[in-house]
Amino acid sequence: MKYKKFEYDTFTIYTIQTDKFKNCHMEITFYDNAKKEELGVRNFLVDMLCHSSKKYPKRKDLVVKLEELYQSFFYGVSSKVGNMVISNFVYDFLNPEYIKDTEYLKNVLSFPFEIIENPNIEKEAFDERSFKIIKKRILADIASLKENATNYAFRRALFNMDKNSITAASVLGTKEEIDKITPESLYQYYRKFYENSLCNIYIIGNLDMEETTKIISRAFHNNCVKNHSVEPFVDNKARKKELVVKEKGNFGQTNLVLGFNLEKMTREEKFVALTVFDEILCAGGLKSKIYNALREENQLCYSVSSICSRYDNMYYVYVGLEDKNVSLAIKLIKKCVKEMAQGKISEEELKMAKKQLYTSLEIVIDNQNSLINNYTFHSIVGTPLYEDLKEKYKEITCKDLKSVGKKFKLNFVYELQSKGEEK
Amino acid sequence: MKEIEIKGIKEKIYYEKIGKQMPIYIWKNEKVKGVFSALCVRFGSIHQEFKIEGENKYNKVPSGIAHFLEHLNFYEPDGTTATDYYAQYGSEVNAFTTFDYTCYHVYATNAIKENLDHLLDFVLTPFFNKKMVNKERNIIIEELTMDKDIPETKLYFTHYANLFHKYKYNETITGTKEDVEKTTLEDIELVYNTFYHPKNMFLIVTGNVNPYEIVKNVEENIKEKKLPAYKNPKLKKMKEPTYVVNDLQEVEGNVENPKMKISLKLPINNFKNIDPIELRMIFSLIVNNNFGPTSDLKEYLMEQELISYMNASRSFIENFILLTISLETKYPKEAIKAIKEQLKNLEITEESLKRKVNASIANLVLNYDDIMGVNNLIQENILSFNEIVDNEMEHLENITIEKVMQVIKKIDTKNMAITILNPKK
Repeated sequence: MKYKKFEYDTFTIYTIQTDKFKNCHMEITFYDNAKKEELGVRNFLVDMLCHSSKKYPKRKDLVVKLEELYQSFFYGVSSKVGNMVISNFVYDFLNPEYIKDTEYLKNVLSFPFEIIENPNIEKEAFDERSFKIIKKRILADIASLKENATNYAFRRALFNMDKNSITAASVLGTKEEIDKITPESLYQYYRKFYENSLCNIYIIGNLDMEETTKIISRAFHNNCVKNHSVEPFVDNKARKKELVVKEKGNFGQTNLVLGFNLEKMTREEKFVALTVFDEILCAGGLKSKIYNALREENQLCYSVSSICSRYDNMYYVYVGLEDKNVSLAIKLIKKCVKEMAQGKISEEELKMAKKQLYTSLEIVIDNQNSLINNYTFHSIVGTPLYEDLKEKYKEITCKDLKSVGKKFKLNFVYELQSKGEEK
Repeated sequence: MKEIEIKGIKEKIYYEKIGKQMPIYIWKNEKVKGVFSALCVRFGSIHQEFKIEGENKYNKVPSGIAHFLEHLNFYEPDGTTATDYYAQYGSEVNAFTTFDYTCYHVYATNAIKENLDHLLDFVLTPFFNKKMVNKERNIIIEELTMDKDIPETKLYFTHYANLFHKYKYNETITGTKEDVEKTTLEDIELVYNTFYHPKNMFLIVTGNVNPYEIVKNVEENIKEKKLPAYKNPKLKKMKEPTYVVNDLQEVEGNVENPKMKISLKLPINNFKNIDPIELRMIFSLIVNNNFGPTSDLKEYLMEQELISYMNASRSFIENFILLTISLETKYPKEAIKAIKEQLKNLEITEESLKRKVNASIANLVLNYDDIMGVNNLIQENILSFNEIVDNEMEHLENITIEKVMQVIKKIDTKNMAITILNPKK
């Protein structure tokens, strides 16, 4: 795999040349510091831009064109990562070696830029028809957040932790925020988004990258120079004593979330040692300490999961279980974390965790989307590339993990209590 | 060993029958590092009544037992689990149970021989006791309580129960809490000893492997095992009526807006003069054209703000074809009316057919891009046709507007089930 960077005045193209895949994958990434009040409109805009355009005024027209381009896929997604908001226009297309048409590469590469740079605008407003469709869908998405027990418990837990923190904000925005958006205000935001967002393009495939970047630079007319940078990390404050919140839920199981601050954890620790720590504590499946304590030794649950929210300086443990088992589960989770902080980690556990992580690395290296995702954060935040991570994992010792464990500070214990058994 | 050329896309699948009993399919990809191995047992949640060869009486086992057995099979005689074994190589082992089969799979990037050997060893070595049955019972009950909290799962299984009278597709894969509570060690041993035999299994290995070495290893492994004779079970045939159980059922669930499924239940016999592979392709094209993102109906429903989501699919279940439309709507009555109207007036133009066929051909190439995807594709081929379909491109190119219209004419909207999951009052 050959990594290369092509710099232009207003954007940069990052390429990975490889013959591993039959597909090519491209992401046009607009990113910036997240503003809570703009998350909803930004997400709305990305949806809107992928739905239709001046040339393809209905969704149907756009999908027909994608079918003509040999079943290409094009969609947009906005995500919030710590203090950053990243809006990706994602595009998958067949490698040109399978297509006889000599104009294919030019046509297929130009398509997403044609869409995002030429929205269906009349009199400085997005077209009403598409606007209504997207609005309805987003409002339904916001409403449906309550349908998923895990998502809902997380949202409530973070809201209770600190409703003003960007960590607690939903990328979808709120119903009230969406209701305020008009076709006119959305167009105003489109201009702001385009003019202010930092922009990179990532592409992986078996392509002549010199030719590819030339085509892209001709198709993409972004001429807005930006001079700012992003600050990716959120400083969520630790508490002296953990917050305990219990709310009544509408689900059969109780959903329990424990949130830990990662206090004064270095960047290197967050992106290397924490991953190994998490593998031993919870992410390593049935072999991990929390899994073993909750499921194997006490049969309290079917599964338990963890999230290293590095950019939010937080770590979460989540489990769905019966009401009567909640106290024991909390006790066991706290005990596992405490023991890790005391350095109760064997060399054997460390060795096993590293092996698991080496395999995971070798697996993700076979996946286009993972490679691009890794390259994205490497280029924006400076996180390690997959190919360098193995060496970094190798260097981690039990002492490093103990040091990581000491930086875990329990912030909250949140329970979304079961509604009781359904008759 | 047989080499099966996948026509038109320069791909090859290796096939061998190990010890004249277990088929193995291998797809080699030297550009990747990983190897994905899946050992599939033709024993799923629908297999609840069966007769062992030489016996007169049918055995009846509790619903959910295939899934229960899948959990137990990870325990090993030395007190460890299969997960412990794979941890030493950093490999990822897991399993899943469907209506029709159980699949044990391993994703490995090193020690391929050891990983594959152990897959065969732990699946083909029975070790069960009461203690582990009781332990897993509690875990499974937590699993099915968790599943109950997922609205889509509730809608899916309620809908299947509205479609099928006799087929066990009308029950959940995990069974109910009561089913799990009444499952005994003896039930587990009975189904294991009946169904877990190489003659009732197939193995698929995809990734960076030498097919000849893989076959040699698997042959040696199976040869060393002292396997009992296959009991050749006969599954009880269920005669499923052509009509649905409930035309319309409304249930309540954890949803903010109503979600629904509308299905046509079509006897496969109505289409017996059409090649079965082409029939599947034609149904996909019809569904996509009439209810997919390029359909006028979807545009209309979205424009009228009658739906916020719509998806359509086709599935082949024993003697029936299901054409299913799933949607989320605040206006169920109006949406149902529009869907019914479209089902009565299914259409496709020559231009649209050509474009969708070309897109499907591009998909054939794209299907061979990742080792898990190819493994799944082979599993689907074996479960649907009991062989690798090597001429999908030819079939796609053979599809004409006349053939599609012939199928459309035979689609009868009489047997339709509608299930609505409403918000709780």
